[in-house]
Amino acid sequence: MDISLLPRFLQVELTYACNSKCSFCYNPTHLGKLDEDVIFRVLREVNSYKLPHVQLIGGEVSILPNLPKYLQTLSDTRWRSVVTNGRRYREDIQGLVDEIYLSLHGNSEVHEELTSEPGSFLDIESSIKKYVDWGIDVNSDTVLTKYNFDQIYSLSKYAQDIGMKRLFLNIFQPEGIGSARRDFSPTFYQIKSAIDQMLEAKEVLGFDVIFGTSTPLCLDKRLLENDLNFKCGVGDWFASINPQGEFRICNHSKKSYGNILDVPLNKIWHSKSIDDSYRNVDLTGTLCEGCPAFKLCRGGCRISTDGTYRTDPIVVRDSLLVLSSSELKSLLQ
Amino acid sequence: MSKCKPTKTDILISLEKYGVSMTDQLVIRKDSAEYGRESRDVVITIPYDALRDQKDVQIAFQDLVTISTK
Repeated sequence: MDISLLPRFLQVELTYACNSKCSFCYNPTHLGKLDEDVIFRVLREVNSYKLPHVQLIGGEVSILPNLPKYLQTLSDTRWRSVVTNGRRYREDIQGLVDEIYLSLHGNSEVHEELTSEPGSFLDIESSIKKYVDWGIDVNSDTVLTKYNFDQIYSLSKYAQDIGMKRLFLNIFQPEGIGSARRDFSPTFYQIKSAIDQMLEAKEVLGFDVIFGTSTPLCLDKRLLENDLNFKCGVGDWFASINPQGEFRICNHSKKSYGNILDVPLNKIWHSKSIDDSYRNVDLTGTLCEGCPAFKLCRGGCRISTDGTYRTDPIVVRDSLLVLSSSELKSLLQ
Repeated sequence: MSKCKPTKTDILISLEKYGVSMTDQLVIRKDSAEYGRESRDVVITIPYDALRDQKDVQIAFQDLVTISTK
């Protein structure tokens, strides 16, 4: 695998504490105490690498009083973004952040059903409009579930109408808290319906809707034809750090490859243990063995909660429905 | 041949201790189209170990270089 010298996109989880209770959350908990000293040390270490993009995420970052100071600590980082549920508007981060991602999951009824917080839709709508007024890119980070798959077009139109730049669609993975709600997983045909709507939003609205998490190319030929898929960046150009400084190659995974407060981030990134357990894994015997699209696709979501390598669960579930190697080969020609 | 002479910036000079170097080369073209024409290339040499191990080198070249793990 060809990897970047340093992560090009690094997520730093500041806390797992959250003021919403989304049932599909991939985090291990909605609780967490903040150790300010540790967070600042983590951010200073991260900042010293002058990375292209660092994203602060939670839990929920907008509940943290020192959020502006955390962003200021990343002064040498070239692009700073935050992910927020929008329930609290944070005017005090204006000028400190280049891009904001808000978790908009459906119309008011569906959004509040999924977040388990009455009133959360009005909160996020109000926050989005205010952030858009700052003149920066404001995106939606939407989790695709069986409960909102039919709202992708209407959600795109709504997002566009209130000034959002693009919508990232992240297929639900039953990890962390969400592992108890496998019923959220969209079916094969619900994902296809979502792709119908993504294309319609592009064509009719001119609105940018793309997958934001790894999507196996064999799910639908239109992923290749319309450049809609998102190649997994795990261990290649993406990594995640938890509130204690533990370095993981995916935020779905609990497995730490070291703590950046003990071992420099660049040493962990280039460690043999990541090479052996992920980057140089032998695909023999897996459903991806011999796939002509593997280099482009990377196999979708390949990390289990415990950090072990896996074949994307959707590909396993729908192995009789996905495109064959020969179909992919002809698409690639 | 161009008389514009490339010079090292402070960043490049600071990476010399890791074996990073810049060489200004005079090249005599040998392809048929431009046979005998002189041109100038700048060659930057980065030791592989420095790419893999040295933070300063990785920061400087992170937008330009990827490496294979196999």
